[in-house]
Amino acid sequence: MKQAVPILRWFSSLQLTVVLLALSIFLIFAGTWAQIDLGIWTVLSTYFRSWIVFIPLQIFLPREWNVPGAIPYPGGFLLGWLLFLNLVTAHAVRFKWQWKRAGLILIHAGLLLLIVGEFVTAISAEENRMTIVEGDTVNYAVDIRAVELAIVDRSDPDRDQVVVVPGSKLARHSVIRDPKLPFDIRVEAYHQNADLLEGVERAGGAVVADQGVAATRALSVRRLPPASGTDRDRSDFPAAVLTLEKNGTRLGTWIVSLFLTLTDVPPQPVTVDGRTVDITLRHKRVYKPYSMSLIDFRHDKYPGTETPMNYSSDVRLIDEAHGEDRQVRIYMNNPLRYRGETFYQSSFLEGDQGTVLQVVKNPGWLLPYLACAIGALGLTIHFGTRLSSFLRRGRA
Amino acid sequence: VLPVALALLAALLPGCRDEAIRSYEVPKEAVPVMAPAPPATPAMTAPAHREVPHWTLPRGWREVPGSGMRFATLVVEGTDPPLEVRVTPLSHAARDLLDNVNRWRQQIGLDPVTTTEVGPLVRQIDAGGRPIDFVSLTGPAAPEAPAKQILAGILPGQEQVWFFLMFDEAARVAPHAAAFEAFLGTVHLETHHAGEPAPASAEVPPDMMPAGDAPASSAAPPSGSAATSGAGGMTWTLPPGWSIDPTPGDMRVATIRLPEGGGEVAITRFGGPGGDLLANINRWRNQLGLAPVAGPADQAGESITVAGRSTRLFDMSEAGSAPDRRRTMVVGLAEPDANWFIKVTGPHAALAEAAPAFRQFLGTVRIAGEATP
Repeated sequence: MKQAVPILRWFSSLQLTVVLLALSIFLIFAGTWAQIDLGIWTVLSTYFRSWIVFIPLQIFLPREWNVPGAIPYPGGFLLGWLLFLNLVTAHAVRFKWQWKRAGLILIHAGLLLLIVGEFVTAISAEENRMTIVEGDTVNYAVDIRAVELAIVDRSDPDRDQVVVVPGSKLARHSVIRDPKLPFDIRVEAYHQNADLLEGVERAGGAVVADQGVAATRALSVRRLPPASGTDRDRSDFPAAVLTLEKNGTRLGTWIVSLFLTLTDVPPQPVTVDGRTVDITLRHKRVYKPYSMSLIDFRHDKYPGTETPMNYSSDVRLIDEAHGEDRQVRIYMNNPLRYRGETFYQSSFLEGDQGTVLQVVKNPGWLLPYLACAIGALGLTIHFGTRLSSFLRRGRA
Repeated sequence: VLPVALALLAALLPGCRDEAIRSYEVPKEAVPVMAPAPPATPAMTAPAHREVPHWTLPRGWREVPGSGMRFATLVVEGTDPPLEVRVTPLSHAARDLLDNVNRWRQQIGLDPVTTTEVGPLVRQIDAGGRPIDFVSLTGPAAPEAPAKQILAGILPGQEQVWFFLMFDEAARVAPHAAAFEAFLGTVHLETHHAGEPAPASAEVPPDMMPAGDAPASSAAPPSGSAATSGAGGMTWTLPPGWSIDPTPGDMRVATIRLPEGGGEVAITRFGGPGGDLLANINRWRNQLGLAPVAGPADQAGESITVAGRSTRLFDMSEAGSAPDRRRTMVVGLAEPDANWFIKVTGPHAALAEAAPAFRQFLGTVRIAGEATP
């Protein structure tokens, strides 16, 4: 313990607190600048929900200067946990546990819980979207920030056999082999955001795909910069050029693109070993053990205007395992909470044909409330004690 | 405290592992189905129960059915190669004005604009009470490439966003800009319900119809005729018994059927320098199950002159000796900005019989606007 004391002293020092807070301020500054080029969620995961981040020098300079290089910098997780340790060790080493300091201890306990709460949210919260057309039933939500390559065998009349390859795998690996896959996948190109060019628009760009919709329409892929935090209403359309192989024999090269999927281009067939499977690049799906049918979507406007007054979705929730079959109305500020998930009325389809629900699951949702309550109690006690001693001194 | 904190930290370290490939079973799901290419009749029908645009064609414009994702193609008569307006419905995901304008700007060699700069580039045209965003963009002229121009109309509907696009060299597009704009003013969307026949999308009032021209007449000559016909700037004379398929299919200028199921001739025109002859040869070889070749010279063929150009007639067949194994014969004709490919495909034995007629047919091919041999 004696050996540990200097380390504890170092960890508990006020100088470290100041340095960590200064580093945090600069991280927020850099993360804000980074959103000129990157989407808010990309910045969140690379700058704030990471242990280390390489901050490109370019983000602080005019883009036309084209400055290479990056500085390694502690990410949000590292700074958060160091601040956590700093505060815990300060209480263990420097601060005295006295009743008159109870307010301060509670304030710090609130801060520690806030750090833990954000960490739990960062690693475990899920935020998906469920789109239901009126009259339809849906048993999955999609993560609009992630894509997956779905390989679907529709030969069974009742069930579809699905194998999904996460988009992150397509981005990281050049060859993907897996016993679950009916073929090997060679990733010729993967772009987080890409445009599909057709015919005269190609301007000489090579057509690399010889199968599927890309071959019939002479499509080629052009990489685009990812949608950034400063782009309003823009999102990425990932695309990949994939060569599929079976036992070393090339089946062909396909282009898959989220844009094709979202514009209702049918999945592309691939024939392998005498059976046909479909491939499509789609938003990552998260299947639920229950289903929801949209009975009615209402979009009320103030009379005589286009100003929305209210959005509401009447849904039927069916969960056979839990014996649930009931009708629920979800409307603004009145979400449905079910099985640890919260369903918010988020948006709707053009022409009021369907609803879009935001499905949020956050096991740590209570922690910030608790942290704030503890902090508020601490502040009340701390300043209450100060006020009463001030009043006592005044009387004396 | 420190060991506890470190243990907690280690336990909570989020995994940096790759996400795994997963397999699962789901109840059967509906799959989007591509609407089949509509019949080549003036009364083009779209899938009933859907929102369909209607318009009045300017004088001298002709409508041909779309295929694949394209709803319809409007052709300006008397232009060679045909100047087209593409009518394409896309989901609302493709609606973003800034994205579209910047994509078009990039395609014609202009720098992208920002959210604040895009406004002045867009003008709203009233179309039956609905505003259509109209954009006209002209690219810079370069010594090796003439300036390109895009005229675009974006009409957000209830279900989809409709794009009307004319994209070609500025010198060809500019004379038709006023007609394009007037045309956009006539576009309106109507919803048709299942079972209710969708009326013709093109309405040609008698006073706008060119004398002697039937509305949206087909370019195809009567089947079996030996008359000179053509499409997309190429003309030819069909051998007896050959017929033009009125629905050429995606990306094809024309499809010609050989008699008695003896195969088909596909005529395509791809823009871009070089047109990737080798890539195309290997694509056709792949379709026949043949291994790729390293260069065009490695592909069997014979020298031939077509439309005044010395080229090669490539000949490739599926492996084996079955008489019905597939065979492809193809010539490529280079133009400065595009490559033509004339390809006949069919059973080996049938093509052996049809080969002389194909060579005779190639001898009649002319590319418009150039000196004939």
